[in-house]
Amino acid sequence: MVNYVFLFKVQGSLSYLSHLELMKVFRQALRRSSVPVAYSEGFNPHMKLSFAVAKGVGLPSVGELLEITVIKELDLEQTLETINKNLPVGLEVLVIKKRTETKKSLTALLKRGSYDLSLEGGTRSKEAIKDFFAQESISLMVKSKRVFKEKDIRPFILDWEIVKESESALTIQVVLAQGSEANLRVDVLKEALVNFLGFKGEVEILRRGLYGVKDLLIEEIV
Amino acid sequence: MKNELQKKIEKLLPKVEQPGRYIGGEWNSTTKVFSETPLQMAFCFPDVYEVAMSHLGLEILYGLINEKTPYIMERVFCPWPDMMNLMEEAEIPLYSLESYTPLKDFPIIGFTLQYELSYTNILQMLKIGQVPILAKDRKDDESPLVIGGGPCAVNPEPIAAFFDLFLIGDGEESLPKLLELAEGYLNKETGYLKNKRDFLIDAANIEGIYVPAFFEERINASGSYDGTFLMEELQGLVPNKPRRAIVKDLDKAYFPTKPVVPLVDAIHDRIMLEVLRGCSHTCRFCQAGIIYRPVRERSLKTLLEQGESLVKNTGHDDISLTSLSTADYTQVAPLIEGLMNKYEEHKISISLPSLRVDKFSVDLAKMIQKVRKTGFTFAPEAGTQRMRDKINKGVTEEGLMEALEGAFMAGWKRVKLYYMLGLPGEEDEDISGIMELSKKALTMGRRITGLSNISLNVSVSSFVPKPFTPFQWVGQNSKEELQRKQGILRSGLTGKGKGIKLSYHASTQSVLEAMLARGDRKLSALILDIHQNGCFFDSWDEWFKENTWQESLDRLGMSKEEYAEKTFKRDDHLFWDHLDIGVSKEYLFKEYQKSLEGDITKDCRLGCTGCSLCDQESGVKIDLQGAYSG
Repeated sequence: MVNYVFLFKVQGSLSYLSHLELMKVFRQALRRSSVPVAYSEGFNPHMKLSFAVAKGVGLPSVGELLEITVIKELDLEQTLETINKNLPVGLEVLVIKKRTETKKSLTALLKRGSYDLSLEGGTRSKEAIKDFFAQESISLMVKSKRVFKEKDIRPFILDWEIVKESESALTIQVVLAQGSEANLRVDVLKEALVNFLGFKGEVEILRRGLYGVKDLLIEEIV
Repeated sequence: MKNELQKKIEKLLPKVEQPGRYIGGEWNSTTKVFSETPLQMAFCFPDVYEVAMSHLGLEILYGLINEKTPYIMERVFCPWPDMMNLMEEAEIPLYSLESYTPLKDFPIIGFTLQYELSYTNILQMLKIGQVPILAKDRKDDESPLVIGGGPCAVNPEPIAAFFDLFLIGDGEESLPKLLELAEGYLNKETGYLKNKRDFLIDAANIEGIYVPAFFEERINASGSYDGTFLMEELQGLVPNKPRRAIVKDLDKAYFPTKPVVPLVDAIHDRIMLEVLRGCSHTCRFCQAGIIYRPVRERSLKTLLEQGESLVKNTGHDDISLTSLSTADYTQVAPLIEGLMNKYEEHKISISLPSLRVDKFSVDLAKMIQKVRKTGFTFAPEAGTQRMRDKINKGVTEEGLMEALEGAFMAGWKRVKLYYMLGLPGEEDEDISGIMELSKKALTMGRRITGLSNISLNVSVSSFVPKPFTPFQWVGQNSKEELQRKQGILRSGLTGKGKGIKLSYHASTQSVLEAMLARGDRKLSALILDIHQNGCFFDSWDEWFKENTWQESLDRLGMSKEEYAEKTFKRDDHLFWDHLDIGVSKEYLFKEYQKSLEGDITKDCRLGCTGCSLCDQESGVKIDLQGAYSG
């Protein structure tokens, strides 16, 4: 048994698939590609595969991670080519890496996530954005396990930067705490930012990457 | 490239349940380009995505038109009410999943008619698709042609006002011919058909095509129905008795090996391998058993090849061997063996959705349970031998017990029994029979498995009389009577510690189904009124509005009971008599009489029983791939 990690992107309308649907799409593509994925034992065997983290419905990403267990070593180059031929438009595997350290699950290793928030239309003030991130605390009512609780989200915003500005749009890159110990969902941050700015335009969000303690998670696992 | 409509739709997706229903882009969906094809057709399924994408007929026609003709077929399904509301607010018209083209921009729109309670959804889809609902309001060069096909097309009279034509019988025979004809009538400037009347006359000459506007109901001096006839002025121009189309050589017929693989979970999310079409048993309530006759099998070689391509092209992990009665396939054991040998190691399972109640079926099921173990379903249909003989369900209590014993011995713990209530000639002793048989089954299960906590599912549906069956003359039990019978079962079967889970259908919907199944053209006005009062998704309990239906019926002075409970006399004209699906009315009546006597009719593979659905002259005959000796 060998484990491999796929770095993939999901874009366009396929980003509206749920976690389980996306999993099914990968299972089918892996079968079409004849990748020898291992199965669980028992009356209802299923493929051994998992995502590092669930992705919100409607969130496009260029940095998702999928881990699979296979019964024999893969030819990385050839597998990359075959799997991409068998994925529907909107999904693409960018890199495949063999995992050498498998003590911890990807989910357990995950610490941070980076996102682009592009503000399009409306009136955008850089000063106001600075003011937003300069706050010492940002208290919100956040829904967790079906009840709303007050939560200070500021400690979970690890970094921010305006990376692009044009006449029509402004893009802020943020790094948020992600994982089992501390987690901030990007749509919660977006909501807070939009309310603070009184922004009336569109906000497009893209997940850029998933990080471990030091580096991109895909780099940390080998 | 995204078009404007797609951008607008994507804005709604975060707000709805299961957005994957509305995005298209599935594996194997057609890559043809709408604007580069000479003719375009929208295949409409009047229900939600997960139901639509479980339908084999859609996959067959979609593959056939897109792979074998120059035309394009795209899919259009009914949005769930949450999406429907948002689309209406945002002024987004109903659109196709492939190219996001508005429904109204297709020259041809085809609806599949699978169940009567989906009729209001057809009207709803036309409305939100901005297509005129009534056929008479759709003018040449201005509107799409709206066509229908599928099992309900054998009596399409209740929906005749909404359709330009119907395809009766196997659509893969008639549809390509129809589209070829339509191409010649397409006005490239408007994108719609011109000279529709001439087109319809030509179309009506294709076998399997029925143009309802060419026929009229005759009412005699005393006000009663006297039959439906081809109009005087069309005599000689089109056949006066439209005849169903049929695939003669199923083995050579097209079958899709690159079906669309849904992104979201369809209800039947698996490979469908059609082993045969038709059925040789004569269960007297069953419409499919008559209208798809005679039995035509595919060869073992063809099925193994198709199975292999399907596995490779879809990535599904389950192959369902579909037909009306898969255990009847003369090559079923070698087929299962062949598939298991090839795919067991790849963890691809085989499922048999339609098994008979006998030991042979259990043996087949044992062959397939190596990969995944599913539940077992038997359909004795009735509780006593008397009643089973009346409906000609060739099941004996001994046979059922033997089958159940086999299933429990082989380790199945989840068993489901299907029955019907309200069958013609049913008495309360037959209801008691259902209870006794079910209890016996449970006792046996507990004894064999040694488990006291196993439970048995008993599912009971209400009998609905259907056209072109021996019971087409018989009125349905009243709603009150059905509910009384359900009550007997409920008090006798369920309760703490009894171990039986009983489920049954709402009786009002069964009454409406009966009304629509055997209805006439007057019902078009009712369906239109009900639609205008906001009914849709009537087959879904959470959307079915019983009161609105009743108010419409009252407003129009109609009675659903009168339609549903009507028992016709032998010489009465039936509303579907002008359509020729091949079966002789005398044969059906003889079967009805035999039912009254409790006489049984044998499997017609053992000798002709005289239904006249085989036709030597045109080469329509029972087509088996091996010997059958019973």
